[in-house]
Amino acid sequence: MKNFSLLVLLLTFNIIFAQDKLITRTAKASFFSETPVENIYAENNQAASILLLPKKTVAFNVLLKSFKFEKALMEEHFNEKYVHSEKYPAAKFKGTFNEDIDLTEAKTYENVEIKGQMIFHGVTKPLNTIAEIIVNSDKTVNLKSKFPINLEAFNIEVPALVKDKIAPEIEVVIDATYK
Amino acid sequence: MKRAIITLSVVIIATLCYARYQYNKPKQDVLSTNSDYSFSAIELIEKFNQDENVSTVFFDKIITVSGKISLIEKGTNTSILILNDGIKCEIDNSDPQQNLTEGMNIIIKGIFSGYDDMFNEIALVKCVIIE
Repeated sequence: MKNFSLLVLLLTFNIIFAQDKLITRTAKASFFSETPVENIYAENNQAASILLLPKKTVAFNVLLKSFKFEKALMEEHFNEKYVHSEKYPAAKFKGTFNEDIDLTEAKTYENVEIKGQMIFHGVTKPLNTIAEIIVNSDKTVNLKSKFPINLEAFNIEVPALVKDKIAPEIEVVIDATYK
Repeated sequence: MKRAIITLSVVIIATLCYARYQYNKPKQDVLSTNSDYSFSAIELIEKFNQDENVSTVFFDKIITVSGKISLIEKGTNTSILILNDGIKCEIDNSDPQQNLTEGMNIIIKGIFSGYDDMFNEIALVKCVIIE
């Protein structure tokens, strides 16, 4: 009997928890870098993310090898020469925000300040960004954000030959839909 | 002298051709490339349970996996299929996959892109369904 009540308690807890823990495996992370020779754009549709509304935290895990480029050679260089994805397979972010987000009401929360830490290429750096969080009527939640990443800050070396051609900062765009 | 000029031009042309080929190098065609490894989903998950460092062995390799679809997560451009609760395969939405349902047994081929320690899943990208 005691076991049974414990099971019920656990199940209830699990249900409550499940509603507050929003997840996605299909978040989109893309970046753009403008160079005089050509523009570099890559997109990753396989980013994993967890949004915990009661704890006001958001976390991302982005596998670098899952970025897709227009040209195969760019993809190869990105993985082997720039981010060394074999050694550092993922970029991670974990952050917190202050807004109370109500899942029961469809609403757009603009300018949500997210403060956190980013781990990328073996380097941990603080990263603060502004996001837009939209609660849809079907209870799905969108999170969109845009922020620059300084390559040098994460120890990413740009070969001297192309140093003047590649911008020191790349612009990252995040677009996640949680269920 | 004339010979030197001819040789030099040949070298230059060859270099340019090679550079052009490299630049426009075709994308890896997963379907027509032989897979480096072939496992059942259970076997592959077991390998990672035993040793997470097995990642380095499989990195960038083409793996064929047979397993049961435990979850389908639709995205805008691509979708994720989860096999046996432990392997996530990214497939393009343009792939003929409308008839896929959860619980189905499939054989899929993709490039190993890492171990996602957020959901504890083995990630394969650019997957194609074999059957």
